[in-house]
Order: sequence, then structure tokens, then C-alpha cells
Amino acid sequence: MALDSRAKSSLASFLGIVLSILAAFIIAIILIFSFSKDPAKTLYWYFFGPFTNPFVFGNMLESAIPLLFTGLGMAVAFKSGVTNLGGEGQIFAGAIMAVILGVLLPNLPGGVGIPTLLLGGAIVGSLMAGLSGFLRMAWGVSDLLTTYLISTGMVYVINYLILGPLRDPAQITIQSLSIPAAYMLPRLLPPSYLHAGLLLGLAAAVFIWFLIYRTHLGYELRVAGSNRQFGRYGGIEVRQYLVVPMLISGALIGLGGAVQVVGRYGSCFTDLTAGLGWNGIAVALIARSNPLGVIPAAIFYAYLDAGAKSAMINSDITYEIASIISAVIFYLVTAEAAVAFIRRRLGK
Amino acid sequence: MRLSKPILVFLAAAILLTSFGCASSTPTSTPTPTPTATVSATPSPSPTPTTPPPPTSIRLGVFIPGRLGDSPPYDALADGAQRAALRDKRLTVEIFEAGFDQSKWLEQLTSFAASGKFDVIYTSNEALGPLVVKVTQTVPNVKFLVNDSYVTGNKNIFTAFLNKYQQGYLYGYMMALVSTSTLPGANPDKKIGLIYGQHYTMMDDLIIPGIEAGAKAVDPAFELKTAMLGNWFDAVKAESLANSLIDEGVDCLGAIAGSGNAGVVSAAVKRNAYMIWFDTIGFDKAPGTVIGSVNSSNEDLVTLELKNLLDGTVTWGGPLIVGAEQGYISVPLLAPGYVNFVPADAQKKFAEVYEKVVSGALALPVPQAILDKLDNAAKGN
Repeated sequence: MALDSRAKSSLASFLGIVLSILAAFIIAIILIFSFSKDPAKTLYWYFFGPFTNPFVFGNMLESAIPLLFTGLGMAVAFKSGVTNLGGEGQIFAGAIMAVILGVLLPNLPGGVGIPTLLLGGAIVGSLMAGLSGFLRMAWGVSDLLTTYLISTGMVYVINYLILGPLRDPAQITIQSLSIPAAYMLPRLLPPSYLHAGLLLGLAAAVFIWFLIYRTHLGYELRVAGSNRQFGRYGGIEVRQYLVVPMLISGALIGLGGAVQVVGRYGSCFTDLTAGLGWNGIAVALIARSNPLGVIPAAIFYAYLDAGAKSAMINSDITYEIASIISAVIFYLVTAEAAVAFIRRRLGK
Repeated sequence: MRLSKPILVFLAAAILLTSFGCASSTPTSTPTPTPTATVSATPSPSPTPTTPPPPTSIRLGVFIPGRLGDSPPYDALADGAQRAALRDKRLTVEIFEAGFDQSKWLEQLTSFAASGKFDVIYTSNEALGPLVVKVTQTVPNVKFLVNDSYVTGNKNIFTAFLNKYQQGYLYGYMMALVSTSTLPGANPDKKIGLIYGQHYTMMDDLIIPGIEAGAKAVDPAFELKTAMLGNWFDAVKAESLANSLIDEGVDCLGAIAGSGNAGVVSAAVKRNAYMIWFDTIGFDKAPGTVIGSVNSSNEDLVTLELKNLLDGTVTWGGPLIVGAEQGYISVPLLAPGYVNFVPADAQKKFAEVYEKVVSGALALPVPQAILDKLDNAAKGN
């Protein structure tokens, strides 16, 4: 039975990812054999360590939660043809806004307080990214540049707030004041830190998929993202799709920051969310910007991280080696070479 | 739109589950909840120091809350543990670098302790006290040695605390003597400066007050100008901050900023100011500019604690505070980098005060309020 063009493309993407993962794992194994004195043990902990007990497994899933949100935010941006390099600042802003609201509104019922904090985080992330979209729409300022610059500046501002006005003087660690305990999401797998934010993340992925592939807004967003000229000739007001996807992208990323606060930490540390914005780009790349693909991609990323930590704790590889192995796996998985190869083989 | 109904059902279910969970949960503890269940660890023979004979073997895990090569206390911890393992074959050592992300330390420390590989975990940092207390609740069969922290009454924890107030006092006293000396570049403004990495309890409540007290002991008119770097690595920014302090009239600088110290050295050399080094001997950083050092002997403290551990004489639950009286804080008064540059009358004055501190004639204890603060924070009070 002959495959149509769309099916071939999907199959090529899937097989490409599988091939990339296999190649990446083979290289990882070679690296582990090169650097570890006990490669069998290191391999075991690297690849199976995250599944050895509920504590580690739950923590692995927990670390996928912020990646779900940042990955989704980046996927929306990619699909829409806009560039959001401000994930670092947006997720941090979402987190600190949740803390500020939690501190300012300490007496709400949990069922009201939690959505309030989450909404606050989403709004501040949305506004940050939306500002870049507006600047591009109004004056053609590069969103690549503005998202990054606004984000970088915001990180400094938030760190200042945590070190200064918002710092909790009763804590020895450098952290902000804490939100009320009633505003914390429940744990799903004690004693691990896995919390109900995972369900929100999954729901967000499904919602964004529905929005992009099953709504008029999503259609116009995709058309504007793939070819603005074509969209314009089709009657789409493409200028607004420089701002709308940014608002959605920033909201998702800011929401991720707020979830980190209400789900895991209850307060904000300096640089609490460092790396999560950039890692969200990687997650979106693995997922090929498919919102549902972000779910396995985020878990895969979290799995790699948990495996590296597990190997560091239980075998003899260092942080640097573990980082190199993770980076190699990631580079190969995100590379398009395997997909292109399989597309050629499938005749597309 | 065929999929819309199942998707909506899923979304509703997810939101309901989340909301139900929120409504039904009644967290009663701190907003950063501690795992309540015990994490399983391979049962292992715990040292029983109060009961002789000494342990036949000890598996020691060294948990570095940062990276090696950048911090004298951490480097001393790792080096000291490895040397101790060479000297005494009963001791095996594994080192884990946890990185600088404080928010991840609790999870990493719990995993490290629950790995079942260690009888004792050795770490350092004032922030580790509260985390270690939490970990002992989930991994009760592992004991902890924690330097630069203060926790009382926990039979699984021993903390050792260097008297940073005393060290700060000597540091400030030496800086003020240099500032009031006849050295070229010293001015009559009576201002000394400190560039430091970040706020933390030791810095805010012990080191800085100690420096101020030491400087004012030379002359009550002395003023300590401080500038926080915001991290432990940005030498360029540190140089800029140091230049700002020099512009304000500071002629002798201190630096407690990790790799950022290099920037302070650079500014001091270019602007003809002076520096006193903190924690380690630093004359070689810039001879003639770095003209004094106030050291903390972290290596000796590590050696002492590991000896006690191997002898089975650690007083678990009872914190240890040490300082210049026991030789853990010291000043190299005979070092050429000091003798050849600091004027003789300043050397004489400093030696007198140093002698008083070492002999105990000048008592500079850690204020009990600070110890209580650390202890209470560790216990979540």
C-alpha cells in the first residue's frame, strides 16, 4: 500500500527520531566505556537509575513539569514563525509573580489562591513576550533580540528582589518569602516531589494541540507561521500573529514558573528556573513543535538529566562527563539529519 | 472536530483532579514540604561513636554544594577526605559535586544519602544545616558531618563552626592598620572596602560585623564600604565595583567573592590600593598589593573531624565552635609578603591584638543570637 506524502513525512519524522536516539545511545555507551572505570555499572545507573525507586522516578517526572510548559511555549512560537528567546526571564517572572501574589494574598482558600497565583504567573509571562511581539509588529524590532534582552534584564531584577526586598530573613538559604502552605499543590508520589502540576502540564499540552490543530485561530496561526505572504493573500491579518503567539507562548512559560512555586518550592531561590527556558527550546525541537510531542520530549529530557545525576551519584563519572554524554545525546536527537535521510529513503 | 469531546473530557478530568487534590490537601508544614515517607537505603552499619570500639570501616560520601576548585572550604573538604582515606584504609571516600543551584540541593542530598553507599556524609555550607535535618528524617540510617553550620541535639548530625566573627575582626583590624599606615597610596579617609559574592548569614551577621568591629578598634572613625557582586565568578564586575570603592576613598580592600577576587586584585594593582586576603594565603596573587592574609584552616578541621570519626569519638548532636584559640584561624605574621611590605609599627600593633585573641584575653565569641538563629532555622522553628 503506497503511503501518501503526509504519511511519509510523519513516518520519516518518527523513524528519524528513533534512529537519532539509537545513534545517540550508542555514542553515549562508547563515551561511558571511555571515561568510566566501571562502565557496566555506569551504564546501568545512567539508563536505569531513574527507575530504581519511586523517589528518583517521581523526581524525574517532576523535573519534566516545567519543561512541559516551556516546551509548549516554544512550540507555539516555532509553529507561529515568531522567535521567543526570553524563556529564562518569562518563567522566572512567572515564579516570582506567584510568590508576590501568595505573599500579598495569604488568606484565600486554596481553591482560589492556587488559580490566582497560576494566572498571575501566566499573565506576567504573557506580557513580557507580548511586548516583544508588539515591538516587532509596530516598529519591526527583531523579536529574537528583544525577547532575549528583556528576559536577561528581568532575571537580574528578580534576583535583586529575592536578595533584597522579598528575601525571607528567617531562612539560611537565599530564598524569597514563602507562599502559604494552603496554596501548595498536592504531592502525587511521596516521598518524591512529583506534584499535581504534572496534570496541569498534560492538560496544557492537549489544550494547545487542540488550539493549534482544531481551531480557526490555530489554523491562521500556523498559516501565518509557515508563510506570511500566503496568509496575507488568503485574507489573514498576519500582523496580529506577531503578537498573539507571543502572548500564548509567554503565558505558557510564565505559567510553568508559577507551577514551580505552587508545586515544588513554595518560594523563589535566586536563579531558580535557570536553564529551563533554553531547555524548553530543546524540548520543542525534539517534539518537532508538536504540542503532544512535547510530552514525551520533556520526559525524555528529564530522563536524561535524572540518568546523569543517578550515574554521578552511584558510579564514577563526573559532572563534566555526564554533561558531555547528555549533550551528545541531545545534539543527535535534535539534529534533522536522520529525518532528512529517512525522507530521502522513503522517496519524498 | 471529531476529537473535541474526548479532549474536553480529559481536560475537565485533569482540572477536576488538580482542584480536588488542592481542596483535599491540607498541608500543615512549611511551604517547601519535606517528604514524610522514609526513602529506602541499603541497611549499613552506622558508626556508634559513643560506644567503643571504633568502627571497622566507614563509607564516607563527600557532598560538595558547588564545584571543586573554587572554594577553599570545599577543596579542603575533598582533599582532606581523600588524604584521610590514604592514611586509614578503614575509610573509603566518594565525592559528589552538586553544583550551585540551591533549590536542587535537598533532592540531590536525599538521593545521595539514600543511595545506600554511605555510612556518613560530609559536607560544608551554612545552608546545609536545615537540609541535613530534613534528610535525616527520610534517611535515618546515615549520619552527617557538616562544616560551617550549627545544629544542636540531633544524634545523626555533627556540625563544626569556624568563628567567622573572630576572623572578620582580625581581617578588619589588619585592613584598618594598613589604611592608617604610611604606605604609599594610603590616605587619611579612614575607609576600607569589601567586595563579597552574595548575602548569607555568615557574611551578614558575622564577617561584616566582625570587620567593622576590628576596624573601629583601630579607630572608631573607620567606615566599611561594601559592595555585593551578586555571584561568585564575575571578575570584570568585581573590578568595576572595586574601582568604585577606591573612587570613594577606600585604600585597602578585602575580597570574599570566589573567582571574582581576581577582579578586585586587578583594580587594586592598577589603582595602587592594598588588599588583605581572606581564608587562604594570597600573597602570590599580587605581591606588594596583597600584603596580608587572615586564614581559616579548613584542612585542619577536616583532619580533626575525620580522625574523631575513625576513632569513634564524634560527639553527635553537639556542635563544635573553633577559632584562633585552637589554631583554626591564623595569620602568617612571618610571611615575606607581609613582613616586607607592612610597616613595622603596624605589624607590632597587629601582633599584639592577634596574641590577645589567640590567648583568649580578647574574647570575640560568636554571638549566641546568631547561633540560635542558625539552629532554629535548621530545625524549622
